[in-house]
Amino acid sequence: MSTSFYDLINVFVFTLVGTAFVGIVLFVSKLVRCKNPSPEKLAPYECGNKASGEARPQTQIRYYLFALLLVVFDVEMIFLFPWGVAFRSLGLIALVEVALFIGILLLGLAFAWRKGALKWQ
Amino acid sequence: MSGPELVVFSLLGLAGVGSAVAVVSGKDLFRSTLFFGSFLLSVAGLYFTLEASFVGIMQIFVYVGGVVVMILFGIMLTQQEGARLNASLERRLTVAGPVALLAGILIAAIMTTSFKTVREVPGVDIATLGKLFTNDYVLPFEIVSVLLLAALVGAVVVAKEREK
Repeated sequence: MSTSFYDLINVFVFTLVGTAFVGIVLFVSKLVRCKNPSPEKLAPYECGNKASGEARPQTQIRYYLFALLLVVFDVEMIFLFPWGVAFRSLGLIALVEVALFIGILLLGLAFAWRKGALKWQ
Repeated sequence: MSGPELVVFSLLGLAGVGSAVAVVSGKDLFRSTLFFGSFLLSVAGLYFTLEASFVGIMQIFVYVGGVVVMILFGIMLTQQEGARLNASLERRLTVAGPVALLAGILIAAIMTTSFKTVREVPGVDIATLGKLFTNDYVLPFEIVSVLLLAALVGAVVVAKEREK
């Protein structure tokens, strides 16, 4: 059941029309609207309060750690996905192999846990 | 390549090259990374035109959803507030020179290689891939998990070290 190009052409058309829609709407509104800026109007809106600080403050390292873990488990998912699709026809041996695969990665997760990498302090 | 395929390929190629140019010409690292994401999306689109939909989906999951997010966090972690990229022309050229040379060599190598032309692309579906992983290529499959384990442990150790 490999998908051919023509099965996906509606995805491309959808993407194209969606992108064009955003562009056209922004362009038309630029044509019609009146432009009369003042410092108050140009200030970022923050729930009615006066905005303070930069838009991009420095984040903390624990976000980065979670992003790193996400990438590792993303790659794990790539390898599990084909197995899951063919699961019915593969049988018990494949299940054991995949259990070993996940088991080895669980060791890593246990290590991260022990090191306190998952703790949100 | 016939009509509609050529149109889609050209549009995706144009989007890819456009965002790649935006990546290297932008002054804001954060914005460059977002353009890098759109570049990776165009490449995913190219995979779809080649009927490699699994690779395309994984490109979106791992690169756009994982790697770009990781780079964004890395930038937000290290960037000074309101910092702009302005390396001197000399420094830019010392980096751009070797990169351009490498790109030139690669393009020349690709142009001169005589690739086999295939009329019909054999469609590899995901179930076949799963069968190959668990039958013919079990050992590489398990070694991948060890490799991922090493990456995971390394990530935790490095990040924990930096936290202190």
